[in-house]
Amino acid sequence: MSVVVHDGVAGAMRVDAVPVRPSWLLGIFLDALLGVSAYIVSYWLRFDSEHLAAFLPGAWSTAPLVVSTQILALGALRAYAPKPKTTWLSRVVAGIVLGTAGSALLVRVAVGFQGISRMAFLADALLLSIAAIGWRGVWVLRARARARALSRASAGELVDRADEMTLGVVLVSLYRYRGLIKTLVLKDLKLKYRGSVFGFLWSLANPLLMIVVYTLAFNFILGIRSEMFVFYLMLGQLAWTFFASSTMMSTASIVDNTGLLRTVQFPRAILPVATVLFNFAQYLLTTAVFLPIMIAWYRIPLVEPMILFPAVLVLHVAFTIGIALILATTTVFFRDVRHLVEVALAVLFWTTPIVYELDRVPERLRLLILLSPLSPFVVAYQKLFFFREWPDATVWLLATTYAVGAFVIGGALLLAFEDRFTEQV
Amino acid sequence: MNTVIEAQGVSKQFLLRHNASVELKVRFLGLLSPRHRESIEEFWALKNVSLQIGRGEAVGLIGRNGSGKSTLLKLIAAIHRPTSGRLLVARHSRISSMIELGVGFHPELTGRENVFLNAAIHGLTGQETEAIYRDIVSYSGLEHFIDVPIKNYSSGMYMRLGFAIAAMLAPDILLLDEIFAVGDGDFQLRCVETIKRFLDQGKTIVFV
Repeated sequence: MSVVVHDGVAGAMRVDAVPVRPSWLLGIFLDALLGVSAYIVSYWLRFDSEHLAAFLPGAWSTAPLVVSTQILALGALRAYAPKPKTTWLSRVVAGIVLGTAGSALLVRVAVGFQGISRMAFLADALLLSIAAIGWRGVWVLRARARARALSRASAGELVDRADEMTLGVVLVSLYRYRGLIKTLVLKDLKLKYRGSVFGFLWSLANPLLMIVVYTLAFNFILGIRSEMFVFYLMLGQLAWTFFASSTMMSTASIVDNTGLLRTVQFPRAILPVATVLFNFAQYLLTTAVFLPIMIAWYRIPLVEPMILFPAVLVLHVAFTIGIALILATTTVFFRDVRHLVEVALAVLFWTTPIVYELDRVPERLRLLILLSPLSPFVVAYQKLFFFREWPDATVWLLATTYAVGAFVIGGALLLAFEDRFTEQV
Repeated sequence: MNTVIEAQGVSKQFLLRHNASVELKVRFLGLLSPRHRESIEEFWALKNVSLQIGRGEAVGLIGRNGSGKSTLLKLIAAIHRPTSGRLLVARHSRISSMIELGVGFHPELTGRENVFLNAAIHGLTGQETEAIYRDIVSYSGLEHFIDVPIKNYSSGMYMRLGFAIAAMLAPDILLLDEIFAVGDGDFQLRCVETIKRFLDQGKTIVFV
């Protein structure tokens, strides 16, 4: 072996072969395209087909004004700068929020709100934010994968092990490390009930007790006539429990595993993913027990829409994993996230139609409730099993947007900061 | 010579935060009194280190505490990233390390469960672990304690189980961090034997 030690520090050797950002022209084009789509889609989400025809002309005529204001705001906040700072995420969101607010103001001054939906501006800002961050995230991931492929190609037999971590590799390694994921999930399941007398039965006892309490409270104390109400409540409640405990646990999934981080190199994404899958395993088990029992008890006929149950489950899990990746990454740098999540969950519970029905919400606020992150999934479950109908296209659109958006943004965020985890925790 | 580990001008900088806190309260206090003020010191654990280690070599790193030996091991294991320079390792080589021994263990789980967890973290599937499980247990000499939660182990037992796993994972590169600091004479003897056997098999060992 040979050792050479010089004084002084070698200059940066890393070559950025691929620009991390497309040219500003392409950026504006993509944002404009997505801006128009988001604006029109917002109207479609807001109104049912009868009213939509009346409002669409207004939407089309204001779309150029709205979208150009949004892009101006984005440009003013330097979202199209060739060398983006690390704050680009907040810049994009701030740009869109400011742009949308500004355009709403302009529309009000120019034409007034006649034939214009105020709620649609809100939906527009939300959807465009997801889309704009989403495509930038994809771009960052792509640039990163290419840069690393280049450095790999130049290295020959020797490779930089950290260069191997690209999104593709991580997705593959999620499969390659399935043994680890399984072990982690089983570990958590085992540890949860270790030392308790009833062990796993607690997982089943909890929902059972909940059903009893709800039945007593709603049917006997509050005097709600509908017997089916408890069934409706449980559908939302079980889905909610899965999401809430996943997000709560995921904030700790990386910071509480310092020991692992500091001794072994493995794709860090596995930790939050395993946390979500652990909760998902519990959700599936309780659902597998309770859904058939409730269906039998309330004599609910089996209908065709129920075959879509797995599709909703997949979207729901993808969304939860995405959120878990975001929360796990941000908690490493800001421990406040954990407390913020607690508060946010308390709010979220009531903005999600779990205890009440979406159709009972005043018509003007319905879109607001539907936009709440967990609503599309909960509403889809209720449509399938309680109303026994095919879920609306709007529900599918929102559920897919949320799931894909959260997954891409979470993945990009985790990969971007993964290298700094070990030093930060 | 067949190079398996190559460092090209590797430097590693850590930021030492004295009085580190992101808390608002502390930041506010910092405005008033210098005692609470955060100061960030740039600390270079490694500066421009270049080295090559060939297949079948056993390399010992010697130096004072805090001179960056463990940091280099962690860079090789890709737990840390170099601030500048490149650290390359032979493609498809399995690295098994005993850095901060046994912290990958979960105290509530039994020895057996920890073996499977630890092997899985190193990328082994259940069957692969099953195949080497017997060897690990007999090598560690912990047959009697393997179904006891690991929180009840002594530090020497911790160590033995950790080393047994690291040794039985059949790594191409073995990174050892101060393993002779703990463990009785018998265990140290066994370590030396294993290391010799590894070298005969043409494996690479770096130890501190």
